[in-house]
Amino acid sequence: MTARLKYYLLLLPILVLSCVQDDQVRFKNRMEGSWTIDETITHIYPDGQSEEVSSGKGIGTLLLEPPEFDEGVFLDYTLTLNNSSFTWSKKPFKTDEGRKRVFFYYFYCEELFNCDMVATIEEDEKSTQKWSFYRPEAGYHRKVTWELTRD
Amino acid sequence: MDLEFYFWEMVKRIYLLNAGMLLLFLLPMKASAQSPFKLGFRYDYEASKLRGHDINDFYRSYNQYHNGFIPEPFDTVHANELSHGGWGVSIRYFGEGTKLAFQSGLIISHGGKELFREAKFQNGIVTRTDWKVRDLNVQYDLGILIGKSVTLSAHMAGRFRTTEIALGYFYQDGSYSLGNEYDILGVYHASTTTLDYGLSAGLLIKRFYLQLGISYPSNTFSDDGLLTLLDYDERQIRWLDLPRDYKTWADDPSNLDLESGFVRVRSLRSTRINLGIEFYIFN
Repeated sequence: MTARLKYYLLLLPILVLSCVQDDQVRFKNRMEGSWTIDETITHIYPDGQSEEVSSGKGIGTLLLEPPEFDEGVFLDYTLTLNNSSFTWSKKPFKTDEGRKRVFFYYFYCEELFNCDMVATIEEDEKSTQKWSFYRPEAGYHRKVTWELTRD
Repeated sequence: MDLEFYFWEMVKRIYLLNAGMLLLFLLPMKASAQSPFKLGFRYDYEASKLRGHDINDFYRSYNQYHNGFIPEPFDTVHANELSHGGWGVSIRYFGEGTKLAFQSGLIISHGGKELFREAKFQNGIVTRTDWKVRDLNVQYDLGILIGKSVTLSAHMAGRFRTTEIALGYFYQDGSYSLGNEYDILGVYHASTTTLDYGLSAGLLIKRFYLQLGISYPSNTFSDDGLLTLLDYDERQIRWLDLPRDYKTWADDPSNLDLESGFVRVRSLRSTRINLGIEFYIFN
C-alpha cells in the first residue's frame, strides 16, 4: 500500500464526517419552494377498519421560504387551503432532527399555546412528500394525509 | 433543546477534527520501519451494563397504569442490552525495551445500538418505543510493555452517549404517528457524558493488537438532566420529559416529583468491558 493511499484511507472518514450537513438543514434546503397539496381524510376505527371520507386534488398550496433573519433550521410557511377562509402567512416550520416529523407552529390559532400541528413524515422525496396528522374523535381517529408535489 | 443538541454536535465534530489534526502531525513519524509509533484502525465490541433503571420504571408504571386494558404490556430493557460493536482509530507508542518498556495509546471509537419495545392495547393501538443509542469514546491508555508483546494499562476515557427514543402509536389500520395528538408521543433525547476510568491488558502481534479492558463511569461530567422531548410543540400541557412515574404524569402532572419522577440522563451510564482489535497501517 502506498503511503499516499494510507493517508487518504485515514483521513477520508474524518473529512466526510466533518463536511456532512445535519438532516434538518438538508431537509430545509430540500423543502424550500412552492408545493401543491392533495388531501385524503380517513377515519380509523378500533376494529381495524378504515374509511376514506374525503379526498381532493390540489386542495391548496404550501409555500416554504427562508425566514428573514434566522439562518437555522426554520422556514416560513404560507399555507392557502381552498376550502378555508383562513390563510397561514409566514409562520415557522421545521422538521425534527431525525427527519421523522414536520412542525407547523401556530397552526390552529394565532396564540402562543395549544395551536401547533405535528405531522408524521411517511414519504420524503425531492419532489414529493407525504405527511399525516391525526386527531382523536368519539369512537375513531381522524387521519389527514397530505401528498405534496413540487410546483 | 436545539441549543443543547448543537452543542454536543459541535463537541463531536471538534473531537473528529482534532483526531484528524493529530493524525496529520503523526504522519511524518511513519517513515522509519523501527518507529515506536503505530497508527491504524480499530474494531471494538463493548459489553455494557446499564447503571440505572429509570427507563424500566417508565415501562413498568405505563403497564401498571393501563393494567386491564393492555393485554400485551411492555417488556423491560435488560441491563446488558445496549452492548454493541464500534469502529475507530488508534495511535500507540510502544517503547524500545526488550523486557520492560513504556507504552501509551489514544483510541477514538464510535458505535451504537438500536432496539425497540412495544405494548398493545385491547383496542388494537400499539405503543412503540424505538431506541437509537450512539456512543463516542475517546480513551487514553498509559502503561507498561512486557517482553515487546504484552501490555498492561490504566486508562481514562471521555464517553459521549446520545440516546434517542421515538415514542409513537401504531393505529388499528397500521398507520404510524409521532404527532402531537397525545401528549406522551414524541422523540425524547438525552446526552450522557461521563469520564470513565479503567484497566486493560493487551497483546501485540506484528500489525495486530488485541486489547481487553474494563471501564467504570465516574460522576465527573455526569449531569442531572432528563430524557427530554427533542422537538416539542407548544401544545404540551404536561412535562416535556419522559416520566418514570407515568401514573402521576397522567393523572396529576403538577404533582410529579422533580427529583425522581422523570427518567434521568445519568441512568443511561454504563459499566463496560471492551474487546478491541487494532490493525496498524503504519507499523
